[in-house]
Amino acid sequence: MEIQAYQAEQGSDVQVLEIEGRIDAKTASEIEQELNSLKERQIVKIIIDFSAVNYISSGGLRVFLTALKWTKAGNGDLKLASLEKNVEKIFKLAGFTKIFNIFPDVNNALAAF
Amino acid sequence: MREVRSKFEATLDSLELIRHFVAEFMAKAHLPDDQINNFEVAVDEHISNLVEHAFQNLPGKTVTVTCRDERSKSQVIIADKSEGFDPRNYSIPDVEDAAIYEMPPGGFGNYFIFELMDEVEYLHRPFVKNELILAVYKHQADQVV
Repeated sequence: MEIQAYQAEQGSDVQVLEIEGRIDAKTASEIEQELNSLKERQIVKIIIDFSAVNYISSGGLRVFLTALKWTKAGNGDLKLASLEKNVEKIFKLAGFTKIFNIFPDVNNALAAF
Repeated sequence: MREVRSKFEATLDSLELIRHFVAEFMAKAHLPDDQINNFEVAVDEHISNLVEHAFQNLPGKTVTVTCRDERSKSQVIIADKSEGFDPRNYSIPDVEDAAIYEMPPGGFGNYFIFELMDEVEYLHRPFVKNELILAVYKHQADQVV
């Protein structure tokens, strides 16, 4: 699994987390560590770029739900972008498409902050 | 009928290997991609639960995964010798009405298994042989000889 965090654009307080690989109970902990490091830096506006993720299980959902809670608590948000159909299916099945803001791509997610 | 069986170490590190084992077999059985993904998720959820809850991450434990392809359905059977983890004991997460702060972070795995599979059977024989039998039915058109 590859995870890359970068500033959405110069001067922006939005961070993008670009994930590449498959998210399960094992790999979700790597994402959790990355998200926790953003939390420690008090970054609460985050976009998760799912364009290179073609698999997720409930272990991954848990991590994103936890991060959604603390970003919202800090008046921020965790927005999701570019969900592949198998990934969107799992978010939908859990009812998470109603609680997360989901966008077709990172640019649209960024414009919504 | 076609069948393959393999034993894996019961650790989260095995998840990717097991998913690959299942997906490769089901692709050869000509299952559509979304049904292969459904099998991957259901298998992943149960094995994660076995590793974390039934085996409590203890080393030296194994699970046996059997993939079976029949005329009318495809199956994956996960067998273990733990005290067992019965996926039938689950509640549907209340996402509709609960505030996100009140929502528990977990509890979706067993719900996914039942939502994604056409048939789920669990044979609970603690410390002897527990078996989770997952099945998806093949489309009618595929069954015409």
